[in-house]
Amino acid sequence: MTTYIIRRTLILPFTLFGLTILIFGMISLLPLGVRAALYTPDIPKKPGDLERIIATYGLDDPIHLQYGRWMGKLLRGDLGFSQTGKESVAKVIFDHLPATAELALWAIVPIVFIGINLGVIAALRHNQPIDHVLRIFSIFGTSLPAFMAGLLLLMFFAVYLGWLPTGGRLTPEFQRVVDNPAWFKATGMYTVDSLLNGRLDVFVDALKHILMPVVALSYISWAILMRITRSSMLETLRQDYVNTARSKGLTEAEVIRKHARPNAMLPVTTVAGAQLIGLLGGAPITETVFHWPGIGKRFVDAAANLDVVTVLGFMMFTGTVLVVGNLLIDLLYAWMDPRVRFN
Amino acid sequence: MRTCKWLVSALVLALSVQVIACKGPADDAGPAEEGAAGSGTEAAPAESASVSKVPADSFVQVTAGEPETLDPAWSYETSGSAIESNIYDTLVYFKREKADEFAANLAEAYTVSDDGLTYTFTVREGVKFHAGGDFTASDMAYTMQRGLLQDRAEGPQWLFMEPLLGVSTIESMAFDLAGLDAAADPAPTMEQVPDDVKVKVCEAVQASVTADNAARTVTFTLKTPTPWFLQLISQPWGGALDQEWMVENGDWDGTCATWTKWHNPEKQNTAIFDKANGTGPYKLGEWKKGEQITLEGNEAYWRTEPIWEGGPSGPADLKHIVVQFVEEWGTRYAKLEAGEADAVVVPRANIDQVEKMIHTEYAGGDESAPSTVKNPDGALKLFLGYPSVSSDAATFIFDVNKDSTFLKSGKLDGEGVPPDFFSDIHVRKGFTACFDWDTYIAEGLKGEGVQSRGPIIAGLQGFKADSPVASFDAKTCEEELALAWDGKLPEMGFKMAIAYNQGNDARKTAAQILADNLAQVNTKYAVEVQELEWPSFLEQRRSGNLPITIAGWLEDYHDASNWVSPFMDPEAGAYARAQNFPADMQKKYKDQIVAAVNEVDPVKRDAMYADLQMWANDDAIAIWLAQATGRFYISKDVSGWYNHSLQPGLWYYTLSKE
Repeated sequence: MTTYIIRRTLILPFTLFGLTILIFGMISLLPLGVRAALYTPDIPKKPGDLERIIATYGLDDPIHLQYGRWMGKLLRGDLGFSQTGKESVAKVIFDHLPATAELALWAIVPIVFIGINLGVIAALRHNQPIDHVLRIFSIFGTSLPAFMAGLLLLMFFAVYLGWLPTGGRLTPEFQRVVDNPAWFKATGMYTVDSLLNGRLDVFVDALKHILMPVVALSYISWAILMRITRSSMLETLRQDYVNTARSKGLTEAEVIRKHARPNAMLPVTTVAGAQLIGLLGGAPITETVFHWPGIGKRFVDAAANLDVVTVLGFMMFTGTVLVVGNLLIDLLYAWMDPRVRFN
Repeated sequence: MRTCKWLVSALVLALSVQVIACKGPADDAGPAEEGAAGSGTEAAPAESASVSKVPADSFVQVTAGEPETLDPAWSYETSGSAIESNIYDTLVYFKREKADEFAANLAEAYTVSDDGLTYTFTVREGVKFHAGGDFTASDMAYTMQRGLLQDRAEGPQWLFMEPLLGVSTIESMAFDLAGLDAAADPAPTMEQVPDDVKVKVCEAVQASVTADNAARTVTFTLKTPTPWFLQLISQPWGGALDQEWMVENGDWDGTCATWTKWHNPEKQNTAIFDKANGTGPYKLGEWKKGEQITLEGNEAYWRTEPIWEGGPSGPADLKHIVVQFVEEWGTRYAKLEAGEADAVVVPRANIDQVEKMIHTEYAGGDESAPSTVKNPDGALKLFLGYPSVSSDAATFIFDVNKDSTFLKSGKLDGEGVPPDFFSDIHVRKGFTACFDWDTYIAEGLKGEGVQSRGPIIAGLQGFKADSPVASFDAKTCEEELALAWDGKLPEMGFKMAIAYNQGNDARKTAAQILADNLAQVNTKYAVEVQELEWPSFLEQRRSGNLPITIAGWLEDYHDASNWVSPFMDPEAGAYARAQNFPADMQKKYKDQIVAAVNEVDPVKRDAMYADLQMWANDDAIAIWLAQATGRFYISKDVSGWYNHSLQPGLWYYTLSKE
């Protein structure tokens, strides 16, 4: 396993290098006026401004020199200035990451537990009524657009029933509490920080705000995971080693718990991991509908407003999360399945 | 059978939720004019949310446009000025709804010399800035001098520059003194101006606004009489800054040796881009960019006497203000319905949806207007029918940035347009003839507006009710475009994009009308309509990327000069400067604008502005859209609102809740 970890980890820098080449390639295709924004927030307005920026930052230098300079900035965490975020891109990401991370972490819980468990139940009750019901719900989930799910929840629970707030992360009075300098800001995730600060009222308010985005986000994802778990379980249950386990006299529960489910989880791990990574990169539609100030919403705002620098910065960030996340999934996969590491 | 019931129940639930959701709206409107004030169309919680969830000491406003900056000297758009007007105090302030009567504010008293060239203000003692510093006369002088020297491109400082220094921009003054030709190609830069000239420029600025702390006076020395000068300094650009605090935070130190470092900065490079330290009734809480701005009541507010008879005094009644930025109308509507907001920007196209929520309708701009109870269970007050001093126009840019993506291919090859596409008058006239005002006013403004007759609005010098105006004529549109660019357009066609600010439904309608009519004239005329957030829209415009700018103007002061300058002054005009008129047009317009401003004979002045109005139409420099009448909604629990033509957004200080 150690050899596998080392070997797999050594590939990481090369993958990231490939990512930087990809992003820089895109940057190189941009018009000079747009590319200049990567180096300076000063926007060329008068004749001669752009030429000065080109000369100052060497934007007409050979491509490898420009790449070197851009990498230098990247390694210092300088991703350029975000016109839509009105801050450096790195700060925009840093400021919005806690909201996205909080949403992702809350969402992954129902995705994994509901998705996997319902998938197992559906497989064990194959072609029985409960299987049909769960499949219908999963079809709803996979076919219902995220914005539609969000709007339905919003209109029903926030507007007509009035049980939950329409959007944002906190009501204004609790927002003032967390914005107070006395507030201990450990993670930026209000549901966590509120407990660390001993403020149950803030926790409840934060929970009420996050509930609908989590449901909207997780419904689609757990529906996908349920279908994959169901298929994987059905396939595993047909394997010879499962029949062998049964013939050894094990109870059905033991067969499922010890033999079928662990093996069925291998493809499920890949999908669940990919979903978590995807969530950490932001959930643009859900965040927009619920006015959730996460990375996804900022990405949409930037893209809609032709803020190429911010879009590329976010791509760099999400690309890195994806590469590192995939490495972790691979390692987890290897840990779960010895065949992977021995190969 | 049990499973069947489950299934039926689930389907019924899903369908019923969808049916309920279909009642919701799906569009948006917005705020934001260039120039000074303006509140857009705002609305408050709905009947279905009969109990507001906003506490009595708080006010939540949900709007679509975010400020560009909170620096009052830099801001020249309503979203930023709206926030600044609540944080900063000016020397004098408008007496309630009056635009030409002024109440004492930071100045206890003021005098104007007989020749109208010297304004002397005696400033109040005991006023403190939010950060604790004492307000003095020299702080006021520093504020004005800093603004004049900052003079960012296309900013508001031209308003003061011309009365105080007799020039349009600080750079033109420096170039003149240095003997540089501002019209040369390439244009001169400030780096070419000798240091001694830079010092002279600064000294001239300092001489125009002086302070005497011992006598507690601030004196403005004008070059030309400016009847609207008090209107100008009553707006956020005249909001007092604390010099000591500004210097501590890295802004200009007040000396003539250093000012160029803070001249024409990018918005994020000024000390008060997202910070504030005023003397006003509200302190800046926090600006969470892309999300919200919070203001907290200044409990140590200096005002002990009512600002006008019956007006507010002491700390503000509403202690906590939250201004949320939500571009999607659906989300804003949900907040309205859920009772989470006291005021929400409602697109004019969606006013039918909130009509049922109106409790009382006022036929005027405040609660003293004749009123009618419309729905006893409603949750809104509606004010309507009051005159507005804003109008929209679609200005043509004669020479666009060649890298602009709005030009598509950037060439006349059927896949785009060249940067100087609109330099051809036939193109401009063709586009103008393709605009349908009747549809625009009926659909975009719900009938609440009249077609503009040029840059100058009704009631001002130069406005003639019978002056010729353009009208929708598809045949003329086709013929004019056929004449343009050596007759290549009908065969070759073109593609381009035009933008409007997100949330402004009327401007979206205008853009779509134009695009649709052009496509009907010739299917090869493809205009794509793109929405941009308000700050991005402004940035794209300033960068010269927009071939057509659909935006509005809300006057800074009530005079025809404030309507021709934005659209026709090639040096100071907020729009005209970016339009890149050819040199002969620039000279013709500028000479007339200067002559009209300096003309004292009202008859001659009227004729001069009438000429400018006519030229603006003859040269087809813009499609002059419409002037809408006022319409404003607010929660019935909120009292104290009144319309002020020059107040940017809401002044929360006068508001209170029952």
